[in-house]
Amino acid sequence: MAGGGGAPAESRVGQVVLPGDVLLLPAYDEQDTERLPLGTSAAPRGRLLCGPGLRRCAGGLLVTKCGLLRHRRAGDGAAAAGGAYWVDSQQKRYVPVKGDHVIGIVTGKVGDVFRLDVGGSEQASLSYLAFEGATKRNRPNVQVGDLIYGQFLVANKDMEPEMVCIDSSGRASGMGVIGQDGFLFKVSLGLIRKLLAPKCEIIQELSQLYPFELVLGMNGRIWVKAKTVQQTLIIVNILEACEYMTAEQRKQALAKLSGN
Amino acid sequence: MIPAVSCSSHGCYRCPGYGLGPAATPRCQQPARNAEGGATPPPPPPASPPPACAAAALRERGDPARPTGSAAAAMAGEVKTKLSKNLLRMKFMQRGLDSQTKKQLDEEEKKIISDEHWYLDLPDLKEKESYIIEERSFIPCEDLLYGRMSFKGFNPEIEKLMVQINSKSKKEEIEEDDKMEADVSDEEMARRYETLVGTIGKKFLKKRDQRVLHDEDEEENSNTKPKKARKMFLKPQD
Repeated sequence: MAGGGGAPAESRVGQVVLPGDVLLLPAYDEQDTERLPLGTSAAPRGRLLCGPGLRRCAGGLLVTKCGLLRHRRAGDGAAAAGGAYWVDSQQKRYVPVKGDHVIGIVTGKVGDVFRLDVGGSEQASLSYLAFEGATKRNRPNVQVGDLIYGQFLVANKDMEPEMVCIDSSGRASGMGVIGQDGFLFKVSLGLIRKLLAPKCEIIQELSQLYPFELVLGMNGRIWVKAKTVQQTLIIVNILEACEYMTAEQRKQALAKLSGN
Repeated sequence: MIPAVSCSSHGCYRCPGYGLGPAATPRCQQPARNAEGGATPPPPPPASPPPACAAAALRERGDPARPTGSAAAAMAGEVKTKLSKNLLRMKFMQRGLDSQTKKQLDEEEKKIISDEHWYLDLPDLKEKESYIIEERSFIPCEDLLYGRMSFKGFNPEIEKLMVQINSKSKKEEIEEDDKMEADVSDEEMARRYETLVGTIGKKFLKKRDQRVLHDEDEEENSNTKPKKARKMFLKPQD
């Protein structure tokens, strides 16, 4: 398919791409330099977002993960002014990415930092000052074994990832130690993205059932808490099973549960 | 000779011979020189010990073969031309320098600086400005929601947060719409402010100034209307 020359990116959208494939992009630059842009042929030029699974290369984009090539047109969102390409891959191993919100398990306290297991290749560090309202004197009450919802501040390859539990304005906004009880389980990273997508049907259907709380980490961990243990487990089972269910199957399962 | 101590021109800080008279001065003259390089011709004997260290330096840096024991007057002109670069660069020597030597020194200094300047010996970058941004996160690509959720009032705090965070993008759009249609036209705004100038301006005046303003108004009024009896403090009668 994509032997040496590569295929235009637009033609591969929605298809399976493999690592090493080259996706060609319309050459905006050459047009600009060779002659005056007449403005009729080329699409409005903007910054193209090259998402996970893709890398820049001389001709265009180089695929580094296998999966389905996804594309979003320009103007769909504020973040992607010039459109975005990324690879939707099936994956279970989490690789820390700057800005991701994840659930970590405290494994130890080392001096000023907590060690957090986030499911990546290395444990993340979390400073005790990176909590809302924490000062040198007023340490946050974090014990080994606690669950922490936080955000990656530093996530480079070859470096220890660093997390924080405050946003840029110093407020927690939902981050920090996740409360008592509840149930933590792990799903694939693809399912997490499916659940976090705006207007996700699974979440919308579940929200009609009964009161419960949900924390979704980009590292594939989900924490659920409902009023009773039974209710919690029902949600857990649905979430675990729904990855490979069709919409009808899911609706049947939900109807059965809500009837109880 | 005691080679342990030498004068500043030889690389140490203190000249022990300074001000001690001829008996002590020879100490500072030679040893460092010998250490500097074996190729230099043997130094002249310290026939006339210099009175100060600076003078010793002058002599040292000059022509080593020059006879040292000559008259001081004859030396003066000679010395002036043969001052070392390092010495001329010193702060106190700058005053007496003529422009030519100054320029020469500057050039030399610049040359040294440019020689020592490091630069990368690379060909020019041929890459044009890239319009591709690499992003390792799915969140901006797929517009993912915030990961904390609560339903049917299980955790009111989180529900408030959900509304706040997840509606951020929608709000921005709404705000933009607002900007498009102004509620009050510019003309109306100007008219409103016209009337406000006086009333608001009063606020920023001091009490005393306000009163003056007020009085002026009254005087104007008094031209047309019968003059009001001025209220004054009347001394109470006993």
